[in-house]
Amino acid sequence: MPILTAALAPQGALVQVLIGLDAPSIMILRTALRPVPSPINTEALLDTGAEVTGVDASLIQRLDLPIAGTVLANLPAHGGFTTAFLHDASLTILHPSGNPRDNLVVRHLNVLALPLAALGYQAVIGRDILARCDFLYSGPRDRFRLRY
Amino acid sequence: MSTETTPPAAPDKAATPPVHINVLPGALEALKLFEREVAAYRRELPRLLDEGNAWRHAIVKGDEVLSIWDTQGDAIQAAREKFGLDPIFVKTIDPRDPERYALLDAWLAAQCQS
Repeated sequence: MPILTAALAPQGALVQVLIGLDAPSIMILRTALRPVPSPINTEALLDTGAEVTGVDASLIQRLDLPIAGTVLANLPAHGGFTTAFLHDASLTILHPSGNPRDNLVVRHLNVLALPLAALGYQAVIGRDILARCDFLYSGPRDRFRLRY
Repeated sequence: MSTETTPPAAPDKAATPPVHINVLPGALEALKLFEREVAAYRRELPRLLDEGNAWRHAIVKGDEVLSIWDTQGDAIQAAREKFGLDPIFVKTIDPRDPERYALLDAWLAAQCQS
């Protein structure tokens, strides 16, 4: 199982992620000979309080992620009970080794559109993804560890 | 010294303000867009839970729960194969939803009154 360790940032446990369209949406676009937007590389906060993974609304707009419903979810760090559009997406946590086999790839998930850009990261990784991981937050060592 | 104690006052539900709901830009539009799907999901939720579908994933279209899937990925894939890139409503069947939607109802009602 890959293990990702890194220093804590002032914002918390940040990881590099790739956010893009999910596989079914890519297939639909390719079949229709329409362009597929490239995934966007950005930073995401590991947030054990968030029930659902969220992505900044501007990224969702740039990627034109298709609408997949609406939800009422608890995101304590982002205003508590929150309701917003859900969108289909894929999300890859990039391992610092650079080896693609060490990445955590989530091919389909629903993400909430959130206003995050001013916070120093453009995504929050919630418990829907963290449920697949062991996450150790070591304050005294100023580091975190994610195993998946 | 008296041993009588005064029982604590029962919370006055009518005086309790509704829990704040963080309604993000577009959220009201989303609730409107999926009004029928949300209503169908709420109507069918007791049955879905009774049948042991908690934490599975439902595809809802219009007034009907079309199908239920074990994983969110499978539900998304099935919905996209059927509806292309049109808006779809894929909902995790969450046993907490009756209380949560009640909170949302109360909050929306309070907004209408203010």
